[in-house]
Amino acid sequence: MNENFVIDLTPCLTTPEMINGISNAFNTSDAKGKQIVLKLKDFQLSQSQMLSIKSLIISYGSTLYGIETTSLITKQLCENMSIQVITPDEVDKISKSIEEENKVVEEEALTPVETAPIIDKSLDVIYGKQEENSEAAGEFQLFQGNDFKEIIEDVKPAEKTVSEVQEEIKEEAVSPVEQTASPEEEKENAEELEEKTEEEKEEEIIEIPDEDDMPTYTKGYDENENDETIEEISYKPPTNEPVKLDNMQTLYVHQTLRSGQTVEFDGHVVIIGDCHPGSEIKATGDITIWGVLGSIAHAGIRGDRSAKIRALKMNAVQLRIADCYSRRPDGTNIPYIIKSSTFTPEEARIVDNGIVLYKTYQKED
Amino acid sequence: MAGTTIVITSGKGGVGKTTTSANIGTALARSGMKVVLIDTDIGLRNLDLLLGLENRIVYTIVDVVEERCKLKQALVKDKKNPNLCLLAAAQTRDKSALNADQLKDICDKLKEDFDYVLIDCPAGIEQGFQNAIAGADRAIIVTTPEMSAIRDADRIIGLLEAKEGIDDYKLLINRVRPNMIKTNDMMSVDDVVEILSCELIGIIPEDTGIITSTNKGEPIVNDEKSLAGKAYLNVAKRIQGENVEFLDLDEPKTLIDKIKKFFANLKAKA
Repeated sequence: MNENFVIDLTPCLTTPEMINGISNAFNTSDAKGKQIVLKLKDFQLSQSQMLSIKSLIISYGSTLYGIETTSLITKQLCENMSIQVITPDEVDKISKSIEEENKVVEEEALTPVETAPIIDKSLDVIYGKQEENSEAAGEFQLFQGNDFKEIIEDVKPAEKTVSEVQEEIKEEAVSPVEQTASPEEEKENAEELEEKTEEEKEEEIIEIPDEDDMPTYTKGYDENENDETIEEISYKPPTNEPVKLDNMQTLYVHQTLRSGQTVEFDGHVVIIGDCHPGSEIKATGDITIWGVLGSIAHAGIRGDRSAKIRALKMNAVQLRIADCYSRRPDGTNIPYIIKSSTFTPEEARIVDNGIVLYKTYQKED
Repeated sequence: MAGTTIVITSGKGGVGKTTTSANIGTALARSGMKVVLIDTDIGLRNLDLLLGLENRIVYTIVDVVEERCKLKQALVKDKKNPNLCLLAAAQTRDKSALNADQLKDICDKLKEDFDYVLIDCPAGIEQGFQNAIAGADRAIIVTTPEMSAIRDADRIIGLLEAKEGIDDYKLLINRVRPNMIKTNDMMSVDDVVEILSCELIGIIPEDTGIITSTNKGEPIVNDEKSLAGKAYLNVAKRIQGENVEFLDLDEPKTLIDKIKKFFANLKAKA
């Protein structure tokens, strides 16, 4: 019989924190393969969040045994998804029945002992040695997205030669050659964050080559080639954008989105598959579609104007970024998706209050 | 201004409710009336495609009901005709997102500003249908000359009669094929009217142009040559109370047909 394992998520206030908490518990203790009991208190979960959490737990080889919650909405959702709702008393019983060792392990899971050095290192990579910051927070809260950001902002003025930290590998590849490479360059691939353990992430940061090593990718997007179908605006290349570390979560969807299906996520969304007309994708961060985008995509729904939408083939009915909105020209108002074997990847971003599409640079031989 | 609310319904799916809604709406707007089309087929919206307005929809009827936007913000103006507006359905929700009272409220508000409020009803007799007929003053029942569609239309007429408030319902027969009626392969218009014992408001011939017009997002009434377009224009006139004769669907199209008919008429006279 599988043993029970209690993960206490009561200090968590946001979904990213919860996901962090769960993955920490799995990475630092022997929770794998056990029946997991989540303590949620009054946190309200949406169905998609619940599904993400459930699949996260399953991906670690465990099963979701039950959830302890005081939120009525979450309770009802649990009933709908046939997940057991556990009363606090039962949780106490379970906790007591678990051996003393397990308790110790559980406490370890929620302390940042294992993972704190990683953040130190990643910060060191960017800013040089900054020791006092990482010691400031001694608790699990260290991993809350907000705190992390504050730490970075504190550090920023002290460092003068900080070069751009790109949000994603793809963007990294297209940055201009002239930019002086900095040894403190850090690259963070947001898309792959979810799949990688903390250890792997650390390795990735260290092993990343300097910009000098990768000159062949340096012209991903042709700055002069605007797509005229949406709007024609001259593009000014960004100069030394402020450092922005991306610590948003990423939702990874491996399926075709059909009419009527929606994906809404607090973070980035990656879809491997096509998005058919009538579906909708909403994200607080970027939206990346490895396939045809034929529907409505809304990036940066909380007002992040730097959010981007990219797809292998842009056939979108509407593109919305933050508070900007652009629609497909009427002439091409075709109610069905056009599939073809040739793809021209495009990226939509906001330039001068308008959404502009950038096509990839086609190299001529 | 107190407008009229007309629900376009059928019971059976695929008989042409949405096509009829789009075309009657466009025809009424062309004659100078202020028209708003409401798509109540939440989850399976199509009316926006037929009007070619898919890329303009930002807010839907569900957003209005859930107070994420004002009613006027959700109205999408037609590309060509400023008299025509569309209140689109949400694609990512289902019929339970709306209830009859909410739709009735919306209809009552729209009636103040528009001459005609046309409601495109979803197929079936479940909640979607109940919602759609809630705010209606009049009804147009669309049917085709097939037993299954007629049976469903009969059921719908029964339900409409049972509901208070709808005093006027009329029949529109869609996809009529004069050639098949001639060879007795299809029920004639008179047969259908007799079976349903309901007043007729229009006869629309089968027209391959409907398919292209749907794909283009351009209602067929804008096509001057189309017979179906003419038929829809006549329906719009009848809705406004004009007395228009029904189209002669046997009207010859090609020159040879015209010559044949000319001689046939000569023979008949002799």
